[in-house]
Amino acid sequence: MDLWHGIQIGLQTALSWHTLMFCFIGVTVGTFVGVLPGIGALAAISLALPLTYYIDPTDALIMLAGIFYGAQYGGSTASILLNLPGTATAAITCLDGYPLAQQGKAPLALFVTAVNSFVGSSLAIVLVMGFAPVIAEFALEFGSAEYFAVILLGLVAASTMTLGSPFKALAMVVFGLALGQVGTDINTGQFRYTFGILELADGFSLVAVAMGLFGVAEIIANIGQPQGVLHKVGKIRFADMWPNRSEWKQIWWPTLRGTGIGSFIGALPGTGPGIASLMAYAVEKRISKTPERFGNGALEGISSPEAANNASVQAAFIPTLSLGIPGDAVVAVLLGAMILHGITPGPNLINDQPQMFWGLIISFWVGNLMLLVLNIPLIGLWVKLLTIPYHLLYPGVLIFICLGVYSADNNVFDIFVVLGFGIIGYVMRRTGFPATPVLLGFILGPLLEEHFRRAMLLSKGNILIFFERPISAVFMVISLIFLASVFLPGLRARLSRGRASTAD
Amino acid sequence: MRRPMPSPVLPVPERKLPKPSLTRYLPGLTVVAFGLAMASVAVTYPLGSLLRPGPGFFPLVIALILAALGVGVMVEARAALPPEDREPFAWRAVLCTSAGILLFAFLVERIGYVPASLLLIGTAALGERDNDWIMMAVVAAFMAFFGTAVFIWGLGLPIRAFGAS
Repeated sequence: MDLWHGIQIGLQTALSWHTLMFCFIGVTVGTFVGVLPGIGALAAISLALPLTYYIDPTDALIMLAGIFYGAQYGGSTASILLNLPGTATAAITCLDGYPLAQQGKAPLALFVTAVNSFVGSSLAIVLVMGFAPVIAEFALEFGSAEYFAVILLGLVAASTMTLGSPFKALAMVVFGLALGQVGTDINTGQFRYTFGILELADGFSLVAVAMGLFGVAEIIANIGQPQGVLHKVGKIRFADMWPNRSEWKQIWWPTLRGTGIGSFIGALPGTGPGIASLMAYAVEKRISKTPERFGNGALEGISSPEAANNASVQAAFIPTLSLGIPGDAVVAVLLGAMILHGITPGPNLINDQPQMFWGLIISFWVGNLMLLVLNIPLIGLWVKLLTIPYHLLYPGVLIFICLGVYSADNNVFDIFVVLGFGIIGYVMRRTGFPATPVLLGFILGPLLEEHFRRAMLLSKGNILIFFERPISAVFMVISLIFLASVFLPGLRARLSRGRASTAD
Repeated sequence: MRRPMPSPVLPVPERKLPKPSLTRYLPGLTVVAFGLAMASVAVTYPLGSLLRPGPGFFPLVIALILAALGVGVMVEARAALPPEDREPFAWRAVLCTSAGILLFAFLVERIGYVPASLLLIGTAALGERDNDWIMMAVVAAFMAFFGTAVFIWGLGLPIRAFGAS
């Protein structure tokens, strides 16, 4: 199927009124949770997931994806005005965004981040349209060995390209794999780790695990914390927002560089917007002639990372839609949503469900246009939102969480699960164990095991099969390089020295 | 060079010793323990062989890798600087949130959504030190209505607004 035909199908799907409506709901909710510190895209998507059982799967995905990229737009607002990232990925935007607000340039900063987000997303969508079908075509040849290798690469990349301790991140990915083992073994029907609890026969519910680790844990961590002081913005006038000529010149190249970096990082399986915006900032600072301006309100310091994190979010759909391997933990939840709706993600998706694939991609354009409107003319609305005290919000969020997990299966048991993972998530956060790898491992674990066992059967128990098939060998070698960077401290030190010197 | 004494009268504060080493190793130790516990269960399932891995094979491998990574976390903790003082563990937030959620879970099918949600909000709100209880009542009333409208009337969850389902 050629590109043009695909775009036509996509337009037909994405421009129907109900799809437009769900896309709008998605990006609005996304901006909302992005703006509010304390509720991330992941929590919001898992919260919305049970609601989508009742709607068409394409609409459901479009809405959930809208929450994801919408949150990237919103995340920068709190970073700039409160010095508090609305989403974890917007942390970098604080570095130069808040100083700009202190200099009274908040409107300019908000405008620049919105425009950069738009440019970054738009260019990355073109890449998705170009690459995803090609990679999917190529991936039709994949056997179980290749799938095992590429999933492994995703898990390893996600846990080694991390800001904290790689041991902790790796341990958490494996913990996630372990959680994925709970339930009935599909090959033999053997119950594993169910301990006689009937509700566990199907394993932990994805919604409950995600909402526990990201929703409840986040709430516990935020209760009783002093709220950030909102920086006075006053009335935001359009004239204050519009960059002058030299400011345009300042952000032009950084935006494109950020988009490039973000698209590349995002397209790698397992690595998400957090790493992308950090790398973009580091690169920008390294090549700048005046690095001392960074941290004191350099426009490049917000435009490149913002372009990068939005580009990476869109590019994360390349491996997701072409291979069925999520490019990021949030996309992993989207993948989980597809599976719940009875759609098998993988290279056949584009041919089997063209209206879903192309509809989703065209909806990215539509959604980003809506976000531009939501985030420039209507920015004042979101700023007001930041004045709502957090302690009035979280009881409501807790109720949504309880009802949300309950509605997934009409079972009270899942409420206990969500609480359990909430406490685990809070303890992990206290001790520096990242939660996103857990989710990635949990979602990909069953797939990993399935492909491993199938590959073993086909190769008659030859474990070297993963290195004998060329494509699989390439993925395995890349995984090993990532792992080596953890276990060979010298290599890692050299890598992180370059990173640390630029991040501060 | 010696540091100047702050004042001859005031006792010089002792330099803070690193926390007892056990707490430092506790996170890694927990991971190791979890891995070993998981492995001990995995060996009770049929292991199979490489040619035909059984249901116990993959969990056993995962469990052993997890335990090994736990050792890695412990080794790393040895080399790391003692953690700087952070805010204390939020016992109050954990307790109030847990109590609220548990109440909701136990009661929602017995006394209905509206009273259960009010109990959840009230209990969870105790986690905050000073609350604006009037605003909280407004939030609770809103959530009671909104939840009923969306989840019970709209989505048709098998629970009732009031009373056992």
